[in-house]
Amino acid sequence: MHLSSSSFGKYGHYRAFALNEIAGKKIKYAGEASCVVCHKSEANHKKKGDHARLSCEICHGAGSRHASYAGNFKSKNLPDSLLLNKPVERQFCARCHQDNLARVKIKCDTINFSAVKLVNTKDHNVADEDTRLPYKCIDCHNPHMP
Amino acid sequence: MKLINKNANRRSFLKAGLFLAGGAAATTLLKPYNAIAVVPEEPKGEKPWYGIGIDIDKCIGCGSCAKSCKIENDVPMEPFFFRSWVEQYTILNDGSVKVESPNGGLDGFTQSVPDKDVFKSFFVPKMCNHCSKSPCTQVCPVGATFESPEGVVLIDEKYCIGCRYCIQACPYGCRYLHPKKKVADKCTLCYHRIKKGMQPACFANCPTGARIFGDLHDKKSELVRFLKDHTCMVLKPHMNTGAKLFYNSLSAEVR
Repeated sequence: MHLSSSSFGKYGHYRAFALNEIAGKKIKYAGEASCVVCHKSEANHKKKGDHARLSCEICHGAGSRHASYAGNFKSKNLPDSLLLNKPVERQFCARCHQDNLARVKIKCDTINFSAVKLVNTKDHNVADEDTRLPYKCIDCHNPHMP
Repeated sequence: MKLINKNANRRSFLKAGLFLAGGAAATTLLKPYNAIAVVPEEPKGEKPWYGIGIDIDKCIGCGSCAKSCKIENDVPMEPFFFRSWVEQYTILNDGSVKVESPNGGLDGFTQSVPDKDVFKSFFVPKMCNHCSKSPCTQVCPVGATFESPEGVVLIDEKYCIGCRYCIQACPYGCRYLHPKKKVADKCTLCYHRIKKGMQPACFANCPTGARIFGDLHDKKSELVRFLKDHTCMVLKPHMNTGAKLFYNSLSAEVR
């Protein structure tokens, strides 16, 4: 009787079956190609804007379950568990766009160059001047084509 | 006689010394662009041999990599279990170094030091270096952690006995003990994704393209091109781990 697995030592000092077990895990992030199949207009929008190179799932979250089951439902009738999030808070945009010296890549006396547009989200158009209602970033900026 | 002997000894000593110096110089000339300790030895064969490139100049510290890693790999959400995380280094005008990683960068960063005190600041995404001479696999007593033929350091969950030796051995702090499974856990370079021809989750979800994943064997791959075009460095080169995670613009302050 062998205490070690039969595949132990096939490639090295380890169980060779472990490779297939790890490789067999399910994926969660499906990739932009599977989003574009249905969400054509959003994809076309995004292609033209500054967010063109961003994968959809960076903002909307992992969509592999959504993508594989969404076809079974009529549009707009998806159960909540399959819906992806549409982040709307200022805080979410701030993850990339909040002022931070580490995001400024070239700093001169006159200009600061950074890969992303930076703004202080804490005082940039926080609320409407008359009505005092708080603004969200997406009230003015289209996230697909900012 | 004594005098002559003395001279002969001195001559042979100088001779031997020159040979040694010459030999050392010749070895460095053979590989003029490689620091011998830094560059991992490439295995022969046709199979891919994966490596990682991270461009610190492009990283904006959004934490998408850390977040997507946790989701893709079911990493516990508590703030002390990470396979991939981001650190913000801030070097102050007085020379002190401040390293921050609130929740691994998962919720983004806020600048904690006022602009006027900052000498420079940058983000450093961290993850397993997938070393070719990895200390963590060498210490495993049961053969539960190993380097796959593709150069990915993996853990066999069924064999791991949870002795934590590998967690101690990793000089980069990239391993943790899974609180539920009670086995060591670490970055698999999304082995389940790369085997299907996809990019690992943290690479696919990087908005600025700061992370480059590729095959070191394939001299036309994006990663090899990245290494050609940039001056890259690995973390802790003196430890001779054969790390395959190459950073562009790595400051000496990063540990």
